[in-house]
Amino acid sequence: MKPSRRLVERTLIVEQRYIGLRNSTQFQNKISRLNSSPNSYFNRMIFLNYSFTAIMLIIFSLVMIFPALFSPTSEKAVADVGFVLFAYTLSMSIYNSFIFFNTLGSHRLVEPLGILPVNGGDDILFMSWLKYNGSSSIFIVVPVLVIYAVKFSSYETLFLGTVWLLSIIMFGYTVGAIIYMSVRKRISSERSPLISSLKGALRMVVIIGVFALFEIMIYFPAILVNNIPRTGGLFGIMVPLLNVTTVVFQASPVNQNFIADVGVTTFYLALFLVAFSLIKQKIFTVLSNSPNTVSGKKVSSWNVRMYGFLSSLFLKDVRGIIRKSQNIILIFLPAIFVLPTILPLLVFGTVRNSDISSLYYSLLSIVIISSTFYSLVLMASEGNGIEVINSLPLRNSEQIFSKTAVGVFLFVMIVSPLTVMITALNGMGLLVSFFLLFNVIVAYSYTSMFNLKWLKGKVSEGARTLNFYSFGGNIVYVLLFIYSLSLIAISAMAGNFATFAVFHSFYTNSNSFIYFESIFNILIFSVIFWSVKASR
Amino acid sequence: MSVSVSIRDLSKRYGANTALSGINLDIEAGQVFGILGPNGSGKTTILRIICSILSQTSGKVSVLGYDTRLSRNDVKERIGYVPETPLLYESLTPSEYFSFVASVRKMDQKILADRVNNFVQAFGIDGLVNDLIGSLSFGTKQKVAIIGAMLHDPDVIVLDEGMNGLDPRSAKILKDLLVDLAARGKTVIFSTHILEVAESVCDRIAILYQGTIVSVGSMKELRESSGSPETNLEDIFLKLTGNENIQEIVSSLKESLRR
Repeated sequence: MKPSRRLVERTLIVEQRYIGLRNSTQFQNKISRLNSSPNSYFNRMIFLNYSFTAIMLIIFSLVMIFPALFSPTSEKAVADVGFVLFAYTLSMSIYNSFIFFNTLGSHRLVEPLGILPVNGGDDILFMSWLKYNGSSSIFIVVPVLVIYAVKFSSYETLFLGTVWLLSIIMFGYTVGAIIYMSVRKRISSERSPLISSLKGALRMVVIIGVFALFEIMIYFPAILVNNIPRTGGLFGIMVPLLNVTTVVFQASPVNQNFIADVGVTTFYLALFLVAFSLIKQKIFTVLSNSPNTVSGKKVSSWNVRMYGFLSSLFLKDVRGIIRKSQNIILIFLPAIFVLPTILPLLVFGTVRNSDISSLYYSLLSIVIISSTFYSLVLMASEGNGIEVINSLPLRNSEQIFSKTAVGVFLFVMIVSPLTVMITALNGMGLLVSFFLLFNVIVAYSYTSMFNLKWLKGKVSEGARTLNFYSFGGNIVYVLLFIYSLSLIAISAMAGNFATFAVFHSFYTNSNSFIYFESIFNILIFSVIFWSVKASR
Repeated sequence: MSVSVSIRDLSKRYGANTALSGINLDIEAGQVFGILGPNGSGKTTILRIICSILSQTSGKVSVLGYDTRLSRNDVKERIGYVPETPLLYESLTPSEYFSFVASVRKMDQKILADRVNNFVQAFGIDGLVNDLIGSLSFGTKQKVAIIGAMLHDPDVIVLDEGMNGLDPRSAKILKDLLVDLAARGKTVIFSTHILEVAESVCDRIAILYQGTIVSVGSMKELRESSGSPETNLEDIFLKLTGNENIQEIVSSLKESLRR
């Protein structure tokens, strides 16, 4: 008797959710009140999560498309948006695939398949990801394909776009698998924590470099188009992803015909299929084999050092992040997401013409994204260690403060050089530059503290492990984003109001706005600090 | 001897499911107290409530006079807990893990170094203290968890199947150490499925079945209550937990495998 493949596909997804929730009293209560089996609860939860993501992506897509529809060169404008959405699909597929493998790997969920007579385990992994996760990114591209096809009567766009969409999702899965395999801790060969940290850092530099290049291509295709010597029609057609404006949307001035488009599409579909076939078995083998353990005796010198109370918590979190490449990737993701905000400032020199409040708002976008991501990563990276934390005499406030400190440390490392660069380019005064940086760090601190306190409240009593699903899946990103945005908005509105009240203008006193902001940021920080300190 | 852990009318429910009900127990200082029971009988739940990791639905539990619900950190300062599976920070090394635990517990540096040195040598993991915990075998992780729980010389030591994965030498060391600690006035509470260990080490034993205590006492008292003074712990356990018909079950299994 062979286990049903569909059952295994679903079980892999259900298990990820279950592990994140199993110790929650709220979850236990829900399960015990159910008349049907707990599986129906998970089915509903997975369906709701998927639907929520799909709806959000459709809304995002429509928000992007509508302005382009009213552009004088609407066909080209919609095609450009289509290109960005295709690129977004690829980013999302890579990210989703990486998180999927990371969760499967850290909870060793694929290992049981190794001893079961299940054929095609590699396909099961892909189908499990595609059905319950990866395919949701289809919804970001479908609206643009349909709108373009209907408005410009280009029905081949629907056909070719669908093929490219599926190819890109499959390619994203492949790239996510490659990244996971390259950053997975190779325990048997990395006995030394120092080597582990160094190797992790090196891999990160490579991955971040590739990501940064990719992001630049997505958001500033003009850089590529203007700086790489044109190779006529061939270039427009042959460079994957960049060629969607030509091949799928047919909006490029480059001459081409449908046969050539189909040929190029078929070529890349075949290429992505080959890459996918090579990787899918490899990732299954990696995940279905248990990691090697160290048992040999070796001579080593060691000592145990005492640290201050908060320092020990701080060090524990920093080590947990820098020694796990998966966590480092997640820590650097905000920087990648906010590149579109930063790059115009640095690359196109708009920074020289910007007033200080505009620069401040750009930096606040990093604060919002970072406090959303870092809070979640810092909580989820606790993993199995939550059992240790639960057994130690620690207050919630101590855990929140230490994690905030780790977040501030990482944030300052990334944001300080950027702020210095921006202020230097802008030629602003030393005092206002200092307050700009001060405001950004304080804003990060209180948004992060608030988010961590909220997340800590979501950790069920007696939880034995934490992962991203312990906090509610994708919805939690949106909620944290809204919390951060709201807190920042309170401060910004108060700063603007104060500036206007004193100078009767928003625009002529940017420096004063920054100084007023400092006062309001400190006030908000104090309120949140004391509310965290009062928590048990 | 004074009562170290006092449990009164304890119950724990998860929605409609009752994990524990009507538990009353006094565990004295200087005792090795064993909690036995089939899988799912509530052993882990009761141990986690004693350690202030989990809250009860009703009833009162106090450890060394501290209420486990109201004075969580006072309880945790005095307890060393070894969970049923060694869930640790896999990206730390054992020496870093010991540093972390000791720092949070605000131990003295000199005492810490001395204790860690003795423990890692005793358990034979002195060559592995600089390796990442994630790279260690299950048994070695269990040893790290045990050392981490014992470093601060707690007054109450709680081990949830603490012998799991230990090699015979380490298991023997741990057993002897627990008996010695109890003799020095510490309270040792542990759950196990190895009935021989419980029989040889425990001063008193409670048998849990479906969330309630079906019997509690010393080995002698358990034998007397079972009505056969010569019987062993395994027979008492099976009788109390409704598993006397083992032979019938085995025969039925054999039969199904032949089909």
